Amino acid sequence: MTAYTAAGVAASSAVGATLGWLGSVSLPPHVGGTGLTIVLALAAMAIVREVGWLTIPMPQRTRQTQDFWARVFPGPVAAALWGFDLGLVFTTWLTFSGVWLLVVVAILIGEPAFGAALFFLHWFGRALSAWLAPLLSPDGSATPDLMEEITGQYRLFQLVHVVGIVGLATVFILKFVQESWM
Amino acid sequence: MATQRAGEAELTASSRAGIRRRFRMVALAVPTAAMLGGALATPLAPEAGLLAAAIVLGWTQLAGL
Repeated sequence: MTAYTAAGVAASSAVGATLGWLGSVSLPPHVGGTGLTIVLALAAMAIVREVGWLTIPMPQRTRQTQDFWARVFPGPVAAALWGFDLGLVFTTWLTFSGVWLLVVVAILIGEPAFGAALFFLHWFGRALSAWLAPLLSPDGSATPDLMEEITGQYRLFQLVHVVGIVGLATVFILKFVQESWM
Repeated sequence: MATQRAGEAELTASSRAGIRRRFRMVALAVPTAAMLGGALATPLAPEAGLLAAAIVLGWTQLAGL
């Protein structure tokens, strides 16, 4: 678990820092009206997609992380590789589309440290479930029930994801307004 | 024998119901805590709200398992 989480932290933080750096070298220092428009348009597309109003293909690699690593490498090494692979975010399947909004936000804000923090916390949210899972199951035999429950709550997670997108877009509007007053 | 099996089935159903309850509580508690924290911190620094939203977006990737 620790190897998995730590490797994911490293990978995700690097992704975020890189995006922030890209923004810092290619964009002006403050979010302008164009940036706000892009974020709101992307948020609207993501929401429409996730609530099911339109079928919008999401750019992603249609790949899962490698099971065979567990057969080839010792446990902690395999776990670290999985964590690093998933932590890179875009090398494997994406469940929902909101992460693309994080990409745009990281680039627009254009600060590598902030980008790293943004994707670190995205990974934190993602990895947290692995740490909490043992607390949800009375013992290992209940794992199939837990997995079934996770699958059964897909729509709930999707709606929570939409709320997250709305929250992100709302805060971004507030940031734009704050910068406009400065 | 039948009574024992019925008892075990009831225990399994009860266990599963407990898992469902705990899972749904946690499934909503984590993003709620993140969003509340973000809502409180955003007036001081909007970036905090963005970071809180990132936790929510990451957490919901769990659905893809």
